Amino acid sequence: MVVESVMFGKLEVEEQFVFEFPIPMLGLEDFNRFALVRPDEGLPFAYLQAVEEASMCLLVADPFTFRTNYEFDLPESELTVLGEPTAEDISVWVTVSASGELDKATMNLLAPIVLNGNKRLARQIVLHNSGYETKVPLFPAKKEG
Amino acid sequence: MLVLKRKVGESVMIGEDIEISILEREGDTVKIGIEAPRSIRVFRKEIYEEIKAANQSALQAPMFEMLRQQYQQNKKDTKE
Repeated sequence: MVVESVMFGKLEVEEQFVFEFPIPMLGLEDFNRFALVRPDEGLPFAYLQAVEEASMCLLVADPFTFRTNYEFDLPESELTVLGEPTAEDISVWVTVSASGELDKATMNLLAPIVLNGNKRLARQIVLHNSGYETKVPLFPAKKEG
Repeated sequence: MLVLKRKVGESVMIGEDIEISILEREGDTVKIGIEAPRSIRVFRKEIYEEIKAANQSALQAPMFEMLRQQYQQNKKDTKE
């Protein structure tokens, strides 16, 4: 299908990369369908482009690249919303705030976005009481000198 | 705002299927239990605001080429 994007222009996206959020992401309540756009598989970044709104494009990152020990349990109720995925069906992305330099970019480890690639369902889950935060630096501060 | 007084062990119904129970009180902290359908998302308010802000901030995404350059530069710097 063709998806209009301010960031990328007209995008030809395969259906398998278009995900539906049965429950929308917080603050983005009007949008349920997003295309996962990955311009370079070698980089740990992707974009979630809203199918219905060209200007709405979120930057997401692979959290495990930046924090190898990142982990959480998916509660039964979340698995239901996600259409009972198997481990192989699941991929995880986190939103990135990087309006300035990438050096200072942060990611939201508290509310990862879980995708079920098999049923193309998506859900932003909140890891209550996990200790994870919403503004975790991608890159730990560099030591000067 | 509707204001109701409740004792520990008592609860409040919101509509047919949301129940909020007062479980415990200790000083100025109140422990509450919430039973709601799955479609109702429950958050501490400050967390709700933070996640909303983070999602909206992810919309200010840099162009991909800029991201690639900065990421590769950063990886190089980290190795040095």
